[in-house]
Amino acid sequence: MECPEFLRPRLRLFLSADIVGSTALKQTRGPVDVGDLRKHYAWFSVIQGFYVVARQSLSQCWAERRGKWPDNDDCFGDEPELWKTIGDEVIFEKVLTDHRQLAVTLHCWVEAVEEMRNFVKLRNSSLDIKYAAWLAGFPVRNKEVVLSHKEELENQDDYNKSSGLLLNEHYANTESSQLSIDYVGPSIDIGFRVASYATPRKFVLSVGIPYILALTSPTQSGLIGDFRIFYDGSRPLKGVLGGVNYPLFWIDLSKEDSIDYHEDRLTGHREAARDDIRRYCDAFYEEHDIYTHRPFIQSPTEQQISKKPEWWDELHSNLIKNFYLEDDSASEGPAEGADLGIDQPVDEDKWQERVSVILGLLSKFQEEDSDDKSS
Amino acid sequence: MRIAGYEEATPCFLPKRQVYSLAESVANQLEHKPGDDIHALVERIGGTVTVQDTLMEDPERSGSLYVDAHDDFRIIVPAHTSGVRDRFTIAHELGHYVLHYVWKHSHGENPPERMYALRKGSERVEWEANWFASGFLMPEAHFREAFQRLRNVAAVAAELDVSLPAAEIRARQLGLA
Repeated sequence: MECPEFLRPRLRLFLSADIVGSTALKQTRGPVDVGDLRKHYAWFSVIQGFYVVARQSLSQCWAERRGKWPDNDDCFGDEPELWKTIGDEVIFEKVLTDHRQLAVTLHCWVEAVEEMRNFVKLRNSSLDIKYAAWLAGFPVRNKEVVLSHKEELENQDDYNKSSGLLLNEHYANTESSQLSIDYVGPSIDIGFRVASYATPRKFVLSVGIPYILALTSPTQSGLIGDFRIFYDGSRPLKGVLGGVNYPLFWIDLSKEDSIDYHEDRLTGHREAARDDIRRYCDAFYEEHDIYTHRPFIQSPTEQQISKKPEWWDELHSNLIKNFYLEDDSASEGPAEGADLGIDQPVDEDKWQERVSVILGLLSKFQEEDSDDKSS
Repeated sequence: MRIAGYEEATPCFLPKRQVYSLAESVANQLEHKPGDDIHALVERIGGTVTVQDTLMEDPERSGSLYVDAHDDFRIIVPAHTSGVRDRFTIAHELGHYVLHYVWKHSHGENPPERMYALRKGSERVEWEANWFASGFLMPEAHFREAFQRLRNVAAVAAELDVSLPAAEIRARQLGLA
């Protein structure tokens, strides 16, 4: 049974950037005279501009990096796309078809967010940017969903099938598709929870990201520098993985002359060693395998991060079967009189008698059930 | 595929017209009118309806109906379908229960002691359950009267609280479209 395009395995990277301090800016005390009105409503221009600059800067950073390594298609793949904006936050998404794309994209994101940071700080020095990234595997653990246009909603009886058909059309024409896709699932929830621990210094990551970076030695590709990854311990995240402790890894964005940097040296807070990260993540996935699994990429070029959990193929196959499962009500069988000679009709003179027996039985069950309930 | 302790539903081989006729008789006997609450009817005769996320279940290995006794059966409805689709699904499972369990028991035709119906069973057994559901939810006289009055299959479907594809098939079967 051929896998429909929307059910092909995809590992997505989500990139979030959020303005820090915007709520306080919007909630500042009202104007005391008309002359202050301009200042009071000045927050809007910053946020409006932030949306534009976020897209521009990521696109530019991507193009610049891409231009420097024109013969490395596998290391880039498609450019990240804007998924959605939520208040003062922008979120981009990208399908990873090769593990090297993870480090390349994270570096682009760091560069892009620096530009966003400069943009907002120039307009209001009390503002800053915090950012986060997380991974989510589709379509078993997490799902894509779409809503049809209003006129198509009336006759939708199977939400899974109608959403799948729209997604298939989208994947057949991604360039021209206007479909608005949402992503839902436990990994997305984890991403938002983890993102709440981000600060302008701490670029927080879901556990799959340090795992892949530690496992694959991204600097070997020569396309990127290294990341300084820190570990802040683990803690329960509300509603996540049945309440088990979730690890908080982050990439350090502080400058070498910053007070944060010197404070770390003073207190002995050091970046985590690559092998330690890998071993920790392995243990995490082993211990919590009923909730989560190691990320994997299924593509022709991927060799290192390609191992699926043992049970994955069976569930994936069931998803495909269910997508192709026919609507009961649309299957009527052969027309009357074309029953392939296997019908066994009951003679007309016995029919009424046999039907009466059935009806009597059903009436009896009904009465008995009613008696049971009343007693 | 076998489910431990249960036997799979097998066809009764009644012709289409007799299945339709039986379905309408059952609806009359149980005083079920088109558009009535079918969940309540199932409960009245000892059954239960459970909504379940079935997308990760193998439809060729998971049941949509489990019958433990005449007055004890469970219908599983998928969580990803609409209310009108669910009504047809429930009527379809009721068809399995009546045709492939009660009918066989009442006439000694090698009846199963405990029976299940797969979400994706053989063609014949599924057709029989569909004919039953169609006759049960859309009795001929009522359907003809509504069609004559409304002159539109979609309007008839809305009045009978069934999906458009189900009503279109019934209209074709009655020679109305």
